[in-house]
Amino acid sequence: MASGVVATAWVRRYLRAYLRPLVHCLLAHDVVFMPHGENIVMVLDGHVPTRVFMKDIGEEVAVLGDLPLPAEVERIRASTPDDVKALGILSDVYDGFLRDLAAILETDGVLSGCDFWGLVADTVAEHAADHPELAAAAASYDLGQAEFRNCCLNRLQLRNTLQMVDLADQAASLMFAGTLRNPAAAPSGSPGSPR
Amino acid sequence: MSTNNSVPSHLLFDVQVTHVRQPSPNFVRVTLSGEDLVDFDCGGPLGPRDTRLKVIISADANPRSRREVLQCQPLRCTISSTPTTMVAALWRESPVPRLAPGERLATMASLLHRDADGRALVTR
Repeated sequence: MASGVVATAWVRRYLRAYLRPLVHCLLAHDVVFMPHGENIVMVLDGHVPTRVFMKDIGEEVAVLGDLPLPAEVERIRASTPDDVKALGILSDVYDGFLRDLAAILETDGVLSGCDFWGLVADTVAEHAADHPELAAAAASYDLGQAEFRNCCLNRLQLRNTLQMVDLADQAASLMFAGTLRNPAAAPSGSPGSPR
Repeated sequence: MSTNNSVPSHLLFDVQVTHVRQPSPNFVRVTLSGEDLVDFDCGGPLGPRDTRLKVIISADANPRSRREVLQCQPLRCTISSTPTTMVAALWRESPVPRLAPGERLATMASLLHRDADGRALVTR
């Protein structure tokens, strides 16, 4: 973290640039993306991420709710069980990317996992505080839930190297293996820590 | 695929050679429509046009004819007996013109990178 900004401040700004917009899209629009590391281009001011660009949107965006769509793109609407909807953040972002980042920060003695996931929870809470009109969605998606289903994206690749998911029914294509503790669970849930 | 001199120089050129990911031409059409649709706010101080990189052009070689199959043979996927799309190229919008002076870009994947000596970019 050559920025000279302390780790906590750096992570806070990074999460605001990356995680917060994704949370907003889920809560406000029922829209999820596939925001893995390669699909996000960060804008750096010095060494601090201030905002991000997203790519691979058209192929991997999914609408989980009733948002009106033109007929020609109705394909991107996924009929998704309620307990799977929040995985757009919990699995794809928390487990898919932030878990690895948290491990590097902790291993290198820069920031403990507990502190990192506390900042993640703070970012979600700050968004909620700024958007009281989304309180119902926030409660419904409950990103602070104690645990979530382990969604195994790599198994999809291995199962069918030609097509990861049936794009006509993405939810039915998913493969699960047990549950993961939510490292950014709300304080009333299980204490958060990287698995 | 031949070079198209009319493509603005600020567009990134992103070539994908893949049997796995590239969808059919019809799917690409829907995909591009979907990209146009993603045009709402992300709840931050920046508008949506600041947060998405659209695909400008997408082209692929689909071995529907024998001639095309022969052309693509060196890259033929052997996993499936069904001829699938072989080569695809796409131009994306470049984020560079949307940077303020002094701003730089980095793929987020770099945050997980450790170099040969084990030093992580994010903690260096």
